Amino acid sequence: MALLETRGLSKSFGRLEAVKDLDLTVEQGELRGLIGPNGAGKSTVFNLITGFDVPTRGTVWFRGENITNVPAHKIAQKGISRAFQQSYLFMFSTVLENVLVGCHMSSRAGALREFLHTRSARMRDREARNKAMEILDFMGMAHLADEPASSLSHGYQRCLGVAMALACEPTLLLLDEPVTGMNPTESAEMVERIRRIREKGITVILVEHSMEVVMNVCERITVLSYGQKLAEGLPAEIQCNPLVVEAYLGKEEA
Amino acid sequence: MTLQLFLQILVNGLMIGAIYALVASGFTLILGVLQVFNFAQGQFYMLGAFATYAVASVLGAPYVVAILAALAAMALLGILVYFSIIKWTLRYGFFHTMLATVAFGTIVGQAAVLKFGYSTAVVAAVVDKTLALGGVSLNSGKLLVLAGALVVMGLLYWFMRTKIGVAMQACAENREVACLQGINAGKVFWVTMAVGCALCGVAGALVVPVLSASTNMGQLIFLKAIIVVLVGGTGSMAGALLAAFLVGIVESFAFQYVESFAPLVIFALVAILIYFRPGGLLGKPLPIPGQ
Amino acid sequence: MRRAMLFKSNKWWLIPAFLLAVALPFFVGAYRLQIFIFVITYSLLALAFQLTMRVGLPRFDVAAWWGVGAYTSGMLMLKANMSFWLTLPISVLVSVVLGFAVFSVSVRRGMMVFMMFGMVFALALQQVFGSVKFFGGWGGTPQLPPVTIGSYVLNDKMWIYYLGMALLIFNLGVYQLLYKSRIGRAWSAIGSGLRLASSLGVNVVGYRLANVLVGNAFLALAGSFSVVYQAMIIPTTYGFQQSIYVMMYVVIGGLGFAMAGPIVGALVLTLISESMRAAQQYQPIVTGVITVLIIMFAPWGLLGVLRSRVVSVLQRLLSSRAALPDIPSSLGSPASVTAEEPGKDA
Repeated sequence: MALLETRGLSKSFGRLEAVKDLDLTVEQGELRGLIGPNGAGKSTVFNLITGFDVPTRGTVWFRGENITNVPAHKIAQKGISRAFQQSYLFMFSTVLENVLVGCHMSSRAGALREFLHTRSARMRDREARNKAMEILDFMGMAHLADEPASSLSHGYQRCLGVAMALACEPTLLLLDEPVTGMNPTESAEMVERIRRIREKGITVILVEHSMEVVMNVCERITVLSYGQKLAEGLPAEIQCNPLVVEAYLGKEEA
Repeated sequence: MTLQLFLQILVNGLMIGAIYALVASGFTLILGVLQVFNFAQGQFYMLGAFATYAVASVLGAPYVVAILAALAAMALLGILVYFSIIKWTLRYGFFHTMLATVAFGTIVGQAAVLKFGYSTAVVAAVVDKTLALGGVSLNSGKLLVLAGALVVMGLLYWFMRTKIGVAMQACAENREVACLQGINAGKVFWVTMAVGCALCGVAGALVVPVLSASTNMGQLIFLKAIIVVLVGGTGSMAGALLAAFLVGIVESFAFQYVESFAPLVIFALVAILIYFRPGGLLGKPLPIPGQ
Repeated sequence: MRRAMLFKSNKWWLIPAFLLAVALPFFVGAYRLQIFIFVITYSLLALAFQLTMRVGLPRFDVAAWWGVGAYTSGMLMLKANMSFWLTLPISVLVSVVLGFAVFSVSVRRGMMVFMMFGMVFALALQQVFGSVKFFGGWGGTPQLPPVTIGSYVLNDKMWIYYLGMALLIFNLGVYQLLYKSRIGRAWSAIGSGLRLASSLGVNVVGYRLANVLVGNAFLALAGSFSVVYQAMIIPTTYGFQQSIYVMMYVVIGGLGFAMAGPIVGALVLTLISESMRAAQQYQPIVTGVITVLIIMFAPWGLLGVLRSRVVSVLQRLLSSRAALPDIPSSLGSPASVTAEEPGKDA
C-alpha cells in the first residue's frame, strides 16, 4: 500500500485548470521531487493534499484512507504537514513560540488541566518546550529561540517554517521550495537537513525550482506541466526525457 | 387573505426590497473592491433622505432635482470620506478601516440628531393617487419608488460595464492582478466609494416621500443591509440584489402576521440558510481551512 | 532578548494600580463611585471583545449577551424569587448554551459571517426583550428586588464597587490562565495565521467556538452584575450602539493589550463622557472624533503610544539595538484577517 496516492485529482479555478487528472503515488520512506515550470500547479497539489483546497474531482488517499474532504487540521493530525512556500510564520511571536504551536497536537493534556496549569499540563508543556528546542537545534537555530520571528533573516525564516512542520511529528512532510532565496551555504545546509529528515523515516515530497537541488537529493521525480503529469522517474531518466526538456525550454522561449 | 391585501403587502415588500437592494449593493461594492466593511453605509442613506428633504421641502425645488442633488452630495461625501479617513487607514488592514467607518457613522448619526432631532422630516408625496388595477387599489407612491430603484439598478448595470466599472470588478476579484494589469487602484477606490455612497443617497432620496426621513433610519437600514448581504452571499452583487427583494417581501409578510417578531423570523431564516448554504443564496460553499 | 525581559519586569505598575483601585471608594463620593462601577462593567464587556479578537473575530453582539445575563438574573429574581447569587451560574449557563446554538452555525463560516450573523442575532434578541410581555416591554422590567447577602441588603455603592472589582480580578485571572496555557497559544496562533495554525493541526473552528463561549460566560456575568446596581432592566441599554462603544473602548485602549487595553479604554472614554455631562448630546461626536484620530495616528491605541514612548526612552538609555515596539501579538497583523478569510473572496 502506498503512503500517499491521488487518483484523478483535478482542481479548476474558474476556467483555469490548475491540476488535471493527476495520479501520484508516493511510497513510504521515499524522497520525491515534484518539479515543473511556473504555474504548473505544484503548490495547488500541496493545497489539495493538505485540505486547504477542495478538489473539483478526484480523491486523495493517505495510508489507505480517503482524506479528500477532511479538514486541514485533521489531515495534519493524521500525519501530513507542510512548510509553506512564502515565509508564513507567526511573525509577532518568538521562534520558540512558533515551534510550540507546531507541538500543539502532541502536548494535549485536556482543556481543564491546561487551564488550571496542573502538574501534568506543566509537564506536557515542558516536554513540548524540550522537543521544540531539539528541533530548533536540529535546524541549527537554537540560539535564536527567543528572537521574534519577524527579526530573522530570510534563510532562517525558511528553516523555522520547516521546524514548525517537523514539530507536528509528520509521517509525510511536504516542502514547498525550501531553499528559494537562500545563499549557497544555507542551501547546502538545508539539502543536508532534508536528507537527515528522511533518514529519520519521514517521507518527503519536495517542490523545488532549483534543478540542482532536486537532481541532487531526490530519488524519484515527478514532472508537472499545466497541471498534468508529464513524466516520472529517476533523476537521470528525467534529465534526458525529451518531453521535460521541451517543457522547460519552451517555457524559456515564451 | 384577500387579493387586495396580498398585493398591497407584495408591493410593500418589493418597495422595501428595492431600497435594500440599493443600499446593500453599495455596501457589497465597497466591501468587495476596497475590502472595507462600511459601517457608515446606513448614514449615507439617512443623509440622502435629509438632503432630499432640504432641497425639495425647504428650498422648494422639484423632486427630481432633489434626487440628483442627494446623489451628487452623497457621492461627494463618499469621496471626501475616502480621502480624509479611509485612505489613511487602509494600510492598517480590515479591522482598522471598519472601525474608522464605525466612528465616522457615530459622528454623522449624532450630528444629524443635533441638527434634526428625533422627529421625522416629511417630504410631500410626489404622487398620492392610488392606482386601481381591476378592482385592486395600490399605492402609486410605492410603485414609483420601485420604478425609480429599478432605473438606478439599470444605470448601475450599465456603469459596471464601462471601463471603470470593469476595473472595479477586476479589483474586487484580485487586487494584485488588477494592479499588475495597469489598473490604477487609487482611482478605482475613490470611484467605488463615490458610487457606493451615491447608491445609498439615491435610496434615501427615493424613499423619503413614502416613509419620511428620521435620524435613526440609517442604523436600521444598515442592519437590514447586513441581513441582505448574509442571505445573498458576501461579495456577490447579483446575490445581494436577489436577496434584497426576498428579504423585503418576507419581511413585509412577516410583519403582517407576527408584527414585532418579524426580526426573529428573519433571524431564524438567515440561520437556516447559513447552516445549509454557507455561501449565501448565490455564493458557492467555501472551503474553509480547519472546518 | 533584552527587550523581552524589559517588558516582563514592566509589571510593577500593577501593584500601585491595584492599591489605587482598592483605595478609591475612600476618596470619591457615592455618585463618582457609580461612574467607576460603570467603568468596571464596560471593562468586562471590552475584555470579552478583546478575548474574541484574539482569534481574529470581531464581535458586535457583546451588548446582546450582556443583556442575556441581565435578563436571566433579573427575571429569575423577579418571577422565581431566586437569590441573586443563585442566578449567577444559571445566567452563565443560559448564555453559553444559547451561544453554542447560535455560534455553532456562524463560527465555521469565517470571520465575515460570524460578525454579521452576530449583528442580526443582536437585533432579533433586542426585539424579543422589547416586545415579549414576559420581559416587561420596551419600558423595562418592573422594579427589581434588592440583592442581599444573608439579611444584609447590598445597596452601599462601596460594596457594589468591591464586588465589581472582585469580578474583574476573577475575570482577569481566568484570562491570564487561559492566555498562558496551550489553549491561549492556539488562540493566538489562529489570530495571527489562520491557515498556518490549521496546517499545524489546530482545530480552528473548535478553538474559536470555545473562545467565543468563554466570552459569552463572562458577558453573562457582567450582565448579572449590572442587575446589582440597576433599579430595572431596559432593553435599549443592550442595543447595537452599546456594542459599538465596547469596540471603541478596546481600540482606544490599545488593540494589542489583552488586559490593560480594554480597561484603560473603558476608563478613558467613560471619564470623558462623564466630564461632558453638561453637553451630553456632543458626547458621541467627541468619542467618534477621538476614535478616528486614534485609528489614524495611533493605530495601537493609547497604550501603544505609551509603550512606544517608554521603549524609545529606554532604548536611548540602554542604547540597545534598534527595535520597534511590538505590534500586538494577540492580533497579529490585522491585514492577515482579511487576506486569509475565505469569507472575503466569496
